[in-house]
Amino acid sequence: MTKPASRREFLKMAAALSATRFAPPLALNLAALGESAAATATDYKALVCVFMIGGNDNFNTLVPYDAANYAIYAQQRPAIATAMSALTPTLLTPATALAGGEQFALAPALAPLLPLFNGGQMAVLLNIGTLIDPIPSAAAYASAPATSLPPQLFSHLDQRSFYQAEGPIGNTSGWGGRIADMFAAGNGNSLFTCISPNGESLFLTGLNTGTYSISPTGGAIPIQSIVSPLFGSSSCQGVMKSLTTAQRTATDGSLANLFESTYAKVVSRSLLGAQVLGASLPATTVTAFPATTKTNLSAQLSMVARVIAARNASGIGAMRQVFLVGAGNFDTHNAVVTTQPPLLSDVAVSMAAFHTEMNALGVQNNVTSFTVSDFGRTLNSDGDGSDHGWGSVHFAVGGAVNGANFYGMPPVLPPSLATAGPLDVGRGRFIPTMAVDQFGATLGSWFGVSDTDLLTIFPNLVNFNAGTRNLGFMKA
Amino acid sequence: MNASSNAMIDSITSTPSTEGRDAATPVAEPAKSQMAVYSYNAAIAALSSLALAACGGGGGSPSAAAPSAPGGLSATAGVAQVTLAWMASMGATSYTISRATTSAGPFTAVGTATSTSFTDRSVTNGTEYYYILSASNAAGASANSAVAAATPMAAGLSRVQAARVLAQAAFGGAATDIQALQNQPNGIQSWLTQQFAIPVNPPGQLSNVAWLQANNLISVMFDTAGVQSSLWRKLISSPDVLRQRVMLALTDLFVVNTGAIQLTYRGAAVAYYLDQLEANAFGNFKDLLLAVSHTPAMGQYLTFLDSVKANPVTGTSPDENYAREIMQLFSIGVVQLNLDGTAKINPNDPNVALATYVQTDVLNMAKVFTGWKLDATANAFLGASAAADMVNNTSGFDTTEKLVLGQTIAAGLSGEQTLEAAIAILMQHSNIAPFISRQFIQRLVTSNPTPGYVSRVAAVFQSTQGDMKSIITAILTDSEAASGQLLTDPQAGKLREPVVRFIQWARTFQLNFAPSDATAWAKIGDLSNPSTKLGESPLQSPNVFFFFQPGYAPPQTALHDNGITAPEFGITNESSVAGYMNFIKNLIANGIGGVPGNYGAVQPLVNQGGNSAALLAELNVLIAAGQISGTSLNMMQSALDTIDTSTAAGANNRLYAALTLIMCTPEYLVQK
Repeated sequence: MTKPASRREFLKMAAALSATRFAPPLALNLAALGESAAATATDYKALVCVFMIGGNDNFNTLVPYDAANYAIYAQQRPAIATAMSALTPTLLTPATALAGGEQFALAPALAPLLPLFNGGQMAVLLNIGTLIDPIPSAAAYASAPATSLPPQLFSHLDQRSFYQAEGPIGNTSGWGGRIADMFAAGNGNSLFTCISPNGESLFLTGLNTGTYSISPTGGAIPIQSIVSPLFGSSSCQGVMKSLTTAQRTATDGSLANLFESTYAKVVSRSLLGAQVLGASLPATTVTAFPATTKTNLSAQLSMVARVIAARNASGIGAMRQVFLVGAGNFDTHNAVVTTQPPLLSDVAVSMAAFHTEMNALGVQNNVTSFTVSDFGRTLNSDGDGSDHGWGSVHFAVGGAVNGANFYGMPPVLPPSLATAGPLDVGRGRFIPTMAVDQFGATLGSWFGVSDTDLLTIFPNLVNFNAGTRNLGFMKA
Repeated sequence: MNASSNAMIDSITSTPSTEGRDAATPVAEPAKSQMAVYSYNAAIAALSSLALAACGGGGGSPSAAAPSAPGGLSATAGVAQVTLAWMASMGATSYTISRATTSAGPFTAVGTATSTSFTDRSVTNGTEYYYILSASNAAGASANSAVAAATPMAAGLSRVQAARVLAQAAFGGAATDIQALQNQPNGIQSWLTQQFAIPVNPPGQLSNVAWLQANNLISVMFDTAGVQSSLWRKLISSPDVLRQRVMLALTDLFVVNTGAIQLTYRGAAVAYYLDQLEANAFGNFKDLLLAVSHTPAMGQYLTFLDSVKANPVTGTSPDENYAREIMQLFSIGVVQLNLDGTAKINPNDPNVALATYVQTDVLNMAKVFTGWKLDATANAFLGASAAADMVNNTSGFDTTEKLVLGQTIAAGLSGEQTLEAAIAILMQHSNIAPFISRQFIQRLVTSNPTPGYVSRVAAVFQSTQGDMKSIITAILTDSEAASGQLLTDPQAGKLREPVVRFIQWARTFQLNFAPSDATAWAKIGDLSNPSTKLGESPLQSPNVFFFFQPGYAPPQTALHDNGITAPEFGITNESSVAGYMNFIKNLIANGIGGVPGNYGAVQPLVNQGGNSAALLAELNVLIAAGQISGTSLNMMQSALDTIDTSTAAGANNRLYAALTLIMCTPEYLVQK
């Protein structure tokens, strides 16, 4: 690797490269930046991404409430519209009303989030989604070159990948990990920088920092045959450790197979993690987390809270951490009326409990959680559900959030079944008016990333006006 | 393609717009000759006759120019022979086959052929031969084809070779299985023939639906556990092991999750779905797609059951779910592929692959999947309508014209005719052969088949129009599957699927639950918890994208940096490796539900000659097909020899420790 002549020159080059959408040599770049940024972090901060896997139905999550828009909503969703009367208790009253007079209510199942919104700890982001360039209208979309649009719009895997990586499938780093790259060196042990109780995560994978996976119920799982004698034999215990963790070389008489060496590295990290974290995890201090099942969000967020509580433990010493939790089954083509409420309830109850727990730990201003999903869904119903869309609605929660407000503009809904709205590319699939890059950059800025570095971490950010890159939903 | 489906697909255009967006796709009215050209490119239906017709239709004589170089050359090793096959070159009258013993040549002619196959019997077993061929006609000879290689075998495989074949074609096997393969007169070829001949549901093995009924448990018709038990029963105890191995691969591809199916009789629905996969596993891929598309399990899981045509009054539209996923996951994928499985790149941007279809195709395909209902006349037993093909209900079916992938399905056809036409379009698409072939190779043999391997199997997919027996044979008998290269190349291999490791243990050590014992089979249950079990379990995938993806390369690893895909690493992390190692240790010592493995065949080796060498050597063959190095075996032996085997408990401890060490070492976990 060659070092750039100066950091300034290098950044200029990286920005130019990302403007043309050729992947910049991020590894080189971020490794160089990370060291300097890490030194400046003196307080603790954490980001917690809550992934609603499958494409959450945004129109039954944040429901149009003003008479004009509710009528359109009800017309497009004859069998799956939430009754207006059911929405009244969760009508949102933002500090600043929307200029167009649009009103929205949370889905009834999201009622546990209402006090957070009203208390100023929750912001609502309207019509946010994957973008490479701003696409101002359906007409602009129709004539946009393929390189100006996220590839394979409306496809789960592709859009889920783009949401996390800001690049197509095949990109192997996500923006949570790229942000973390810059701070990992400031943590006592970089292994505990990006942590997931939901398996491997592209979002948490940086250039140097990778996902550390834990169990939502068990935390860091010890490997019995390595931490204790194997069927009574400590010799076998020792050989088990050697065989499963050794990085072999071609010269030690065995094969240096890359699959084997990769596997052995995972086992090594597993052992280290269980040794350090496994001994440090305290119980949660509040009982607000509901009863847990195998993978639901409350189990995962409860475990994240315990890891945060252990942030200062010996061998951890974390200053910056990024977490990802996730729950599936949001792909409600069918039966959205019965399927989605329990899922949303899990989101709301868990996020509210998590915020309560952060309060108990005294880090409510240091921890920000936020939702993401594959994509939004069609306003238009397919009978008892909806199909894959684009722009969606998301939430940010925490003491550092400029809450009790909407950010961005809702899309103009189609005036009739036969007429599409200006941002509607078919069946109420709305072109986002805020990009994931802007969403992430706003969070990254709060986390301590400089404006210049954000342009490297978010390759499409440069395509948006400088004044709009920070969406303003985080306190400075 | 039969006459009726020809009539249904009455218009064919060139490749659709590839801009990956929902813009209107310009549709040119087709000329008949375009149909022929398209079909030639797709190389599916009636290849040679259409191709020749297209040449003739141009007005010139087919022999006015020398033919093009033959494509799709495959070389299959047999005992003392190598069989070559290739795709016809347009206008060719004969082919000349040449051979060398190095890939660079020199090549010497060994024969000529007028058909598209040739058997070379003047070979020495154990020598690797490289073949090329050229096509010729009155105007001259073509350029040479790509090279294909094969190593003819001496009759009879070694134990290690046989164990390796069984790791690819089965779930490994016990010593008796290895011996049975060694006894085959013609190695894997005759083993495959024998396996193909075993009927579906061989004696003693009920179908999944019949097993649920036989157990007379009303609850199993609608719970998730009964059908899960039934599938474990088949995977572990059914003698048609090749079909079971292919079945597992099919459930990886055509994913359903029983618990996510919102049907009252979801157990029955999934049992029927599995029976349909089994019945068609050795049939035709087109029939697999048709069968899957008729099952209530898939209909409900991907939500086209009860989807109806657009309603202009209420404004509802057809459900797009299955329409998208049958293309994205079950047949052609999202980017255009070459025959060798590599992506076609946008000429205007090297970072963008060409899209296979656009949103308009999804919208049109969604019309195909309207009007499908449970068959209310199927009432032979409780839940029977979930265990019967869906039927098309004319009132809900969209009868308008559908434009799918540049081809038109005419208006006015029945729902069944329309589905058949839509699947015929998918079968004709040039992507389906490489897209499906590569994934089957990844499931059975290796994570990174060479482009040559993919194209050889894909060519068989094309030339046989999706015949599963031919595809399976092509995968398992390819020279690459048996090559020494895979054993020593540091970039080769595949991480064994956790479920396959478990089934291997159960089959090798004869977990002997009676096939009819529903209580026993229920003790296996859902093994998908990553931190305590396998992180993977059949019928438990979190969504239709399965537990891991075919293109996954773990980031920040040497695999990723070398461009190597390793799908199973998608579920390999700090938590799941601990979960697996703890699970397998407990399994080895305690079995399932209190029933231990049957270790009788290896018990006498525990202290043979006063040490554990013989035990380790045998386990290395049975479990790891000989792939654990001498260095590792020596390390294991010196540790195991410290365990006193003078008591029964001590002998067991040595056996359990040896097997645990072997099943946890990366040299076993990576199949080569």
